[in-house]
Amino acid sequence: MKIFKKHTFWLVLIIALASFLRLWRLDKNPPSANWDESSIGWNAYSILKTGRDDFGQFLPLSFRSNDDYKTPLYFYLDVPFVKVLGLNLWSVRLPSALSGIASVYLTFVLVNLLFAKQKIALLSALFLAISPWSIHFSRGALEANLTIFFNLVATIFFIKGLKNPRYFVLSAVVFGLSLFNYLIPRYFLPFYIGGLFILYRKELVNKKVAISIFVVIFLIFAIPIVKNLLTPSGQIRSLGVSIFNNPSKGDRLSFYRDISAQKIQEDLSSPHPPKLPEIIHNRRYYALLLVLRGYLSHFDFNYLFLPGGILVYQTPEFGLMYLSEFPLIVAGLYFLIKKKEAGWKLVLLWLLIAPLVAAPTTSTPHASRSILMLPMLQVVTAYGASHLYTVLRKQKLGIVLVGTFILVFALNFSFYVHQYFVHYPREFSFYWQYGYEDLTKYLNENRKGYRKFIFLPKITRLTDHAHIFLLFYNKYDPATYLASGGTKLCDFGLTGRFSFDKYEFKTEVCDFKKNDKLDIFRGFEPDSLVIANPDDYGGGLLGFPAPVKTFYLYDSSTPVFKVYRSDDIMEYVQTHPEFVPKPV
Amino acid sequence: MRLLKPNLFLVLIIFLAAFLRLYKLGDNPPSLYWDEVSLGWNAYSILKTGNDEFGRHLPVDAFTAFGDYKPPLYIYMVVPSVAIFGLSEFAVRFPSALFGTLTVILAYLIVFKLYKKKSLAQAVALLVAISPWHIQVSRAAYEANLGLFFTILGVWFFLESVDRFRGAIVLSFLSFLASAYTFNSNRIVAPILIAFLFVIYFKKIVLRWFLLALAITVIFSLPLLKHLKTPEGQLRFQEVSIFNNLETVKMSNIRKSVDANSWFANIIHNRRVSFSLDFLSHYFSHFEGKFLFISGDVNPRLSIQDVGSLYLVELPFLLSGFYFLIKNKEKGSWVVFLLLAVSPIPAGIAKETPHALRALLLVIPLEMIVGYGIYNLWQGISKKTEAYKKVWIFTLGALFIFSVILYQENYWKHYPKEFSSEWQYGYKELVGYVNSVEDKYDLIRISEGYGRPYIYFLFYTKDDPAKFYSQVDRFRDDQGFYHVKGFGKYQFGQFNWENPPEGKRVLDITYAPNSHLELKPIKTIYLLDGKTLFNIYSSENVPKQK
Repeated sequence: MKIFKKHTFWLVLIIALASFLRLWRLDKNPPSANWDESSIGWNAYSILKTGRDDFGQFLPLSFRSNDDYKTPLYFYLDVPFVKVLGLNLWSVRLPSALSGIASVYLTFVLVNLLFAKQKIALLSALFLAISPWSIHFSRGALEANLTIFFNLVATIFFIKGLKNPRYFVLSAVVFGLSLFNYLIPRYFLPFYIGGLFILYRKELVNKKVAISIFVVIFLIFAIPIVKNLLTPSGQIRSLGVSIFNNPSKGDRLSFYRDISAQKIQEDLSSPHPPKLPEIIHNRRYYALLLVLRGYLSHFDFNYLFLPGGILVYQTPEFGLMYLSEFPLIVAGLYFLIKKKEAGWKLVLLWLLIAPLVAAPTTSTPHASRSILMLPMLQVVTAYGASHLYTVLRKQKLGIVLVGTFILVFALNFSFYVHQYFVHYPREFSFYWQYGYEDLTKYLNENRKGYRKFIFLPKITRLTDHAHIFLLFYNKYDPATYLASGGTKLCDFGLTGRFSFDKYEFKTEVCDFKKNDKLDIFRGFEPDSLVIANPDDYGGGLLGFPAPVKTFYLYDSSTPVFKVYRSDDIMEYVQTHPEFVPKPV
Repeated sequence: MRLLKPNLFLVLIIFLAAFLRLYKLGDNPPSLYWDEVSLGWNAYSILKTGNDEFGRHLPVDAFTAFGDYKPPLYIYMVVPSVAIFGLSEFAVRFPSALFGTLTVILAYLIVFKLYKKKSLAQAVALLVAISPWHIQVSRAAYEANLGLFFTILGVWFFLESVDRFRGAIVLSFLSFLASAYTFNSNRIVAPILIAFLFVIYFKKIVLRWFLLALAITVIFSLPLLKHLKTPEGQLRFQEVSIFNNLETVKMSNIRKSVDANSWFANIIHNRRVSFSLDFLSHYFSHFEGKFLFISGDVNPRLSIQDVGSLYLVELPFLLSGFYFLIKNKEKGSWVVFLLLAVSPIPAGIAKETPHALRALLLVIPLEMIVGYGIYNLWQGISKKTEAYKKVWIFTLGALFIFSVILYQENYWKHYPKEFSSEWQYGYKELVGYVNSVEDKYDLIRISEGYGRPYIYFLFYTKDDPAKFYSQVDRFRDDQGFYHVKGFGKYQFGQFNWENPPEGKRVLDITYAPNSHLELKPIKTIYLLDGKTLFNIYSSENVPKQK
């Protein structure tokens, strides 16, 4: 059969596999819209209807969203999807899922461009198609996933530009656009584009005009970003995750400024060679160690191949790559360095710069901030697989070994698919803030009987952004919402209680008065429902009124919300003067 | 020695190694931590009476000590040391420092045997000599360090038996046996190493000698095996093992039930699958950048925290070393890979990882690979121009010298101050003070919470061990550990100040966090960083209760 020799046949098969893994039950797993997805979805809906975000900003370049000031591109990309499919999980997640599928194809294109070997290009695409890391990020509305897509497109154009400089324009535009999607490219691209210029300096020598145009276009995109980065609200996100600003207890090195100062002082108080204390205890040296620690952590075996690390990003029993990929990637690195085929430097450049951005942040290693290790990890794996096969093919029993390995890999993959589709939603629904869909439905059914629905602080356990889920699951009309004042968050010193429709939100900052802990329970309207976390505000206390309804996580056994009648609580508070409501 | 004669550079390395390990050995680390004191005093007890702390005559399987059943060999090594130097910090640590220095020589010998390249062997010996990991463990009484020596000695004798003197295999086995009598991890490492060495050198092994060696080893390991079969012998293993995590079992049962307990669920959700992944995670944690290059073991007794297990500058050479090991495919590299692969196994089945003691063997293959990297890079560079060569040597030398200075400066000037409490600093001063005033008191009560005070009182008072056996009052807790409640005038535990025993003059020594704020101590003992460690109160000063 001639058809099997054709790479297009295999490529179509791989893309079909990638699509299946990224689209099948996309609205059911992950099991619910998390707060980012709700915010992206409803804001896209609101942009579509009113041109404004939930704070009333007209076509913002930075969405305040859940107070994390998100980059705008995903929101705007989502608008047509919401227009066509309506506001639901499909329309929210599709941009990410489709970009994940496209990345599989683009990986094939790029690798073929670099190594001119279709076998390696196909294998790279295959490994990306089945990559747990890629699948995970493609199935949620995660802006991080789009960075892979943009970087692949821009790089392909860049390399094509080496032959035909017109492509540089496209490359610069896509690089520029990606600055508006996720914070990572803002820090990654200066290193990466600089690296590209150095890597291809010989080819670029006589393309001064093309380079100038490339730089100018990129700068046009970059200027608003740089301007934004100079404002406090532009810095808030980056500073909030910087390890230099957030030393953590129990992490000695993160207090490096104190250690350095202490040691220099100790040295200066006794005889010492001139300058030595300042040199060897220089705080910059410690800062370097700190960054390097974060950087190296992205190459830890445990991080890449085993469960652990940040829970939000993992599948039970799996790491970000398959254990079976370990020997392949080791071989890949070895052969890549040994063979020095054209393109090997670009692969390593991309792969080695990717974790640099995540290195100086808290909670390293970080699967989202180092997302650009994809798809180069898979390319190296494919490179190793291909060359190992070439070596083993000639050995006695080599084919048996290869066959066995493929079988083991297939089992490994099937195990993953099982874990992801069966056990993942059960065990990790908490991290997708599961429960609001049921809750919204319940409240709608009980609209008639109650005057208000009162949400107590920390209701999502993460923070107080219950409103965004209600907006999303109710498909709440943006015009009505904005007319009632839009989102008013208390956390950053804004005052004024926040409510819309029948929903009223209590926050710790606004509703807890210093000397009056009970204040939060006063002024509850009668005939209302109060929604709280299961153990908060007396929920675990003996004799506390029984909830009228309890909601559970996807596993149907872990409670997430308890709903009380406000009259029950008021009565309890009045008859129990010793009661102090405290969030757990 | 014929071998050392034309090898001035090696002699210099050995002197450097010895200096780095022996200089002011009794003073830094600033004090003996509890295990060291226990080893020391048990050796002292053996020397004086032939019995251990429990009055057991010359134990060969294990010393009960705190109930942790310490392997015996290090203690027996301390006996002559105490006989010569007296019962002191130096004497307890001397075997570790001495055999640590000898390990540097062994590293040279073994690399030379594997690769037949003198400069490569010298490079590795030098790297081990200045290794922060190896210096750290050589400067305290760590059984693991003696175990490392015996392991490397065993490997060297094995290689010797393969290419020169067949009978050396008996010595090899005896060395491995000694390692098993020295440190728990070696009980796992030794048989695995022997098995793989047997496979690698199968063709060159004379079966007769091999069987003889095996027979001798089996006979001599009987007391140890017998001990390991007792509940006490298994206690330590149970305590640290990852395989008794109930959470894992629970999770696997939940997952099985979600999959309706089908046949495939019983395979894929078998707890052994989870445990295997757990093992891998602990095993590979020893190759993490943080452990290797940034700050080493999290336990400040095992790393000064300012430098990794290896120097940061060794990172590029470790990577290139790996590359060349694979590329050059030399026969000797099998042994390097073997050591590398086996070293983290015992630590891998234990809870706290990465662990600088249980995986100590790793330091040898890692430094071998770094050395191999430097050596092979140099092969390429030595073909280039003189100027290029000079720049390379200068840069490399400067980076290493800077690293060593940075490490040593921190080790000597800041480490003891910052981490003196980790070494249970303060007992020497405390016992000294108590001895000077104890005639005035009928009862001396020492509050627990800072290591095990009783062993320090034994160590620093140097009383007759026989007297201790006859007076000691102790009990065993449900974890299997022994606690000494008192002996002679001393009592250990938690005490209530409000009700001192009637009519007795009492000296109360209180660990700072439990101090009586309303009372004025008659004496305070401080840590090296200036924090209060003990407050000492006298019953004369207690206000009379109404």
